[in-house]
Amino acid sequence: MRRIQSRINTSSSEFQQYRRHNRELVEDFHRRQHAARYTRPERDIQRLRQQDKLLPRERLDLLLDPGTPFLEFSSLGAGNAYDGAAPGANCITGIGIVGGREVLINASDSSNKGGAWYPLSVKKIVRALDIAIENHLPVIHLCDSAGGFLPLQSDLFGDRYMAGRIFRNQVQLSKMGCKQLSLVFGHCTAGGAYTPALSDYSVIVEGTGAVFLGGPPLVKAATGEDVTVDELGGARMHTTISGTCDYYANNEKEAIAIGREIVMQWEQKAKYPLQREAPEDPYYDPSELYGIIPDDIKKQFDMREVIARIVDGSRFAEYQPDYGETLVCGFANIWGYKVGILANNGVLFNDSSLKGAHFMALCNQNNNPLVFLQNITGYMIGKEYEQRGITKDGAKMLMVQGGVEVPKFTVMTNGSFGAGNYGMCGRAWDARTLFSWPNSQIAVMGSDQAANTLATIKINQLKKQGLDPSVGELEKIRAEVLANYENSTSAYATSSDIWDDGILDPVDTRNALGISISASLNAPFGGTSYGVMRY
Amino acid sequence: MQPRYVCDDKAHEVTPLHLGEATTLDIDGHLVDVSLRWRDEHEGELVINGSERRFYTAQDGNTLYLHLAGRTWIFQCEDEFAGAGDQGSSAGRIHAPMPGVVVELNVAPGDCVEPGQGLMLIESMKLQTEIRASIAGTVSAIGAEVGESFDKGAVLVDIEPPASTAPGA
Amino acid sequence: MAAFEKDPVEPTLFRKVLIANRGEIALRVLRALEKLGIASVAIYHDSDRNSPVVRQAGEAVEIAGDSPSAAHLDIGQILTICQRLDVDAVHPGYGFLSENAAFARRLQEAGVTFIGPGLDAIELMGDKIRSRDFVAGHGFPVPPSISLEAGEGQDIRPLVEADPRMSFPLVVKASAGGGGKGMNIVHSFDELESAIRVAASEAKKYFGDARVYLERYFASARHIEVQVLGDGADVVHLGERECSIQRRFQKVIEEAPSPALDEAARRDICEAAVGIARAAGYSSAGTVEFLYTPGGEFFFLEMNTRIQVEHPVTEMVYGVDLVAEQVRIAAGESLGIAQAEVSASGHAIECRICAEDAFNDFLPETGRVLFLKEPAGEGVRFDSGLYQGQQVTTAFDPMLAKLVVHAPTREAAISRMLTALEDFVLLGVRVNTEYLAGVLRHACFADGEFDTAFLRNFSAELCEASPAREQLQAALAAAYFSDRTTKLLQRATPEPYGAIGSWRN
Repeated sequence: MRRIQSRINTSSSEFQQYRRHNRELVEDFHRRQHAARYTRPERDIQRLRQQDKLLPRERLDLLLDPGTPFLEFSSLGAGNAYDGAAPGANCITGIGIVGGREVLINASDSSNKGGAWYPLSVKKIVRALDIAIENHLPVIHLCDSAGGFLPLQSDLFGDRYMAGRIFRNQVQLSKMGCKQLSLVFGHCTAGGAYTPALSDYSVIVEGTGAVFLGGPPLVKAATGEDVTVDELGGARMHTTISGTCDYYANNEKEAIAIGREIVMQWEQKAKYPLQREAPEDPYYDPSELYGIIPDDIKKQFDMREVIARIVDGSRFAEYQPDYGETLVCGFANIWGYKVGILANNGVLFNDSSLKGAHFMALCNQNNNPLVFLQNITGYMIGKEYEQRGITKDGAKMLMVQGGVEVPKFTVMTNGSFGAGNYGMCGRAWDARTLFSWPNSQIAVMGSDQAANTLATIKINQLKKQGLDPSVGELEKIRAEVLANYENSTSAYATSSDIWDDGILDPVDTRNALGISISASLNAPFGGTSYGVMRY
Repeated sequence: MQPRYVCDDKAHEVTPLHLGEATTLDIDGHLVDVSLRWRDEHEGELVINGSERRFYTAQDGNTLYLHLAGRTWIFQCEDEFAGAGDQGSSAGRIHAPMPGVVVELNVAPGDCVEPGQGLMLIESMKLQTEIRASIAGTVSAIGAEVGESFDKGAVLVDIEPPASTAPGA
Repeated sequence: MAAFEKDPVEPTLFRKVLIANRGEIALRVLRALEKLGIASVAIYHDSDRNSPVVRQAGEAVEIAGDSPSAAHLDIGQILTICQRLDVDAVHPGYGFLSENAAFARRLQEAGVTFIGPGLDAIELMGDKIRSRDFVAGHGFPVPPSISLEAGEGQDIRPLVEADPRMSFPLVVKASAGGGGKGMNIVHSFDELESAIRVAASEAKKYFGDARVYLERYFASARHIEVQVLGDGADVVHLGERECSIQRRFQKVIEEAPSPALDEAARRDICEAAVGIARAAGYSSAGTVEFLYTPGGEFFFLEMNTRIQVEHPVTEMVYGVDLVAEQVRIAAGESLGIAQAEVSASGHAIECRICAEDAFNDFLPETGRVLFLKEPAGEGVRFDSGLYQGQQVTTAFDPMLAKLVVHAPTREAAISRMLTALEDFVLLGVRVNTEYLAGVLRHACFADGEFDTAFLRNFSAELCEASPAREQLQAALAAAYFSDRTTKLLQRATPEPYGAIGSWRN
């Protein structure tokens, strides 16, 4: 495979300017992420310490293997919601290594609001368990949650993808043979009680761990029975009398040690033997990505420069290099894994759509996972393109993309607008993981177009009311509309709503994809049989 | 999980930045580049900060013996459970596995016991079971005297671990 | 050296020899028997069932006893085995029954040859008071001393005061003693009575003989011993061994020749040894031990009527197989060599490898031998009964093996020994190799300026050096990679997780 020849001049003023811009964005991202992870009221920390409890991330450090990564999902989930009351959506999810096994971790963040479930907490947990289901991953639940946040119960309880879905997903996992382990550090009340109960293994900590459908106050109110937490659902009771939990632990460290020992007994199933070479660092420094992504979402850039800073050895076997040039397609290795890459170099035309459809069918037959690098303003519009069947050609792309069986992975590198989001495997299209760069935006249309449309509607309303806004007033209206729109389409807004699996520092893209691909190989695929259509 | 090796009562933390036989290790806060080649299961060659050293190794339980440059090192590898029991005081608390009656009592409060030492004999359903010490320490309480009956889960013997054995976190 | 090179096969010596010992010396005796073409029988306690001598001897018979040592001291069992297996000679090694006159007598009665000197010599030299009187009677120097009958302690003061040569410090010794047991140093009359009582009681306990004697103690003397070979008619010496590096009267490092002797002193002391052995009509290999004072005086201490632990240093310097010589002499062969034909070459040093925490008051260590790599190379000899999987217990002596080197000069021998000590790997039981290396590196040892108080005097300097940071880091890195948990996790972890490492997003 030939190495991509970068045309970037790293000493150009443009490169330096972009780099400054993007570094600021990334620093802001890391600041927000750090705050979401660690900024907690002192009294919450003290309360955990007094209970002899570890902080959630201390538990993770003890649980995970040394010298191995943890790919955390949606670290800024709920970041723009509830006035910041649920940073990280009050839970930590991700893929890591425990006892040499790839596992999905679902940990309550008891350092904030007792780990209560907000609506977006539920969404984040359901999504994490979906990832476990899609990738056949075992799950470790670190249970320490106060339960559903009552003032918002109507937004988290009864619908199909709300709290019940967590337990439904646990059952699906069990049905698939994916092991689950619960480490009960705190109270698992009501629905939460089912998490350990539906796990194959559970460890419960003396004193602080408890599992019951109704706590002592509820029992007192309902039946008048006076009962202590320990009697009702403590560690000794559940491990000796009810058999609801399997292992008794004197403290959290011991619970984690027992948990690690349990996981080390789990069968390590063979993964899909994806074509693989020895991994090689990219030839071009990934940190140069900061100087490649422009400081304005409207400015075009060559996605090959991005590919060169993500893939092994910066090598890329481009497919149909001279046809449908606005969609760059080709083969490369990421952490050794052979993948097919689709990356936008402009708006999708008829030929680029057909090229994409053809390439994806090819990859699916060849069992190459697909990586989508989105920077798309949409499919080309206008009479000429409609007459040439752009809608039909876009539909072909969607049909093939939605139909492939190989795992798909998506990175929002910049813009993701309109139906381009669909064609390039946006959230609704079941990418195994989907990550966004801090500069990226997702919306039905680009912000300028949308702001103009919205401003026009607003100005027309004013005119109907007989008002005649001045040029200055018109500009002000336009600016306000634009700011609101951009705020709602920013990566922070979409990631807050869990439209993705989290925001990534661009330099982390390669590792995030490497782990995502490796995890996806736990689920079988391949064996499809068809002739590849040259569309 | 933190790999920890105790030598001459001093605990050392070794954290790999990667897995594999060429990596960087954080050894007590200092980064060290190392690579390793095994010649057989007991003999290896270690390249550390550019200089090569041959070593020999053997492990017995959690005790790791190492011969390197004419010196023999004996490390205690802190395993998954090391330090796990240092917060709770109930590691030495022995609960009745079933309801029964005490037929023989071999210890009294204040006695020092070793792990595995027989503490009492209980009888239940015509079956006698020896209750053994779970940890080393001092008997702090006896839950039932000879002839007394007890319920399942009752504390039969409580053993206080020696204060100094708890390793630092 | 050529003088000792005889025909390798002498089938007429003995039919079958029983090795009444264990460990390294049992294997050493087996090697000599193999060389001489003599069938062998090993006896072993169950705890030694996997040891090399058991596997390699022609026959091996288990012996039982309340303890492993008791089994090896059980004369009746050994005699029965000799009769059952048609054994016509027994080699006792050192320790156990090697200087037990009753054993030698019982064998004699049963028509089995005891490979060692005659009964008379064993009995004479086994009694320290008698042997000292015997030696003095033949005009050889003995340390100033007073024999005590049991219960005589209270009248001792005038006896000591009457003898101008009996000045403090003095040492109380058991007449039947050896190996440092029953020895007590006293510095004043105040301590004397109780020391005698303690020594007598210890002597009674260990040797069944409460007789003790009082001897002038030379605080800064050397321990020099002379190897002799006698056939009952003639006696030759094979030079001296320097055995001053001792802790608690136990030898740790021995060498030959002694750096303390000039040619004249060497001649005097060796001739004295030959004279003593000849006077005793000595027949076998034996060792005459002397105290050598800074003033150049020497005094007879005792004679050991067996093969010594440290015999290899003499063997390496003189090119002789002392055990084979013992067997030949016991079979009735004559020495066939004159003193003039014997010549020494180079320098040899022996280190005793002991299971002990030498840096912590020599506390005995136990454990299982998990890995063993014996030192080898030119001029390196390793006498050992060690084997992988061996359980080292306190049931036997803590000495596991002997590392011996030979080189043209003392300096070269020290350096060869240091290399060999570094090359020797024993994992699973703490041994004293680093301590030994520390002694060898000590400037006073290098200069040859030391006496029996060396280890005590320099104990502060001979402590465990704390490792350099780089060394500690290397050891910790190796420990990390060697740890079973590390290996397990490395094997189990799928790629690319290990290569990505401890990354967080």
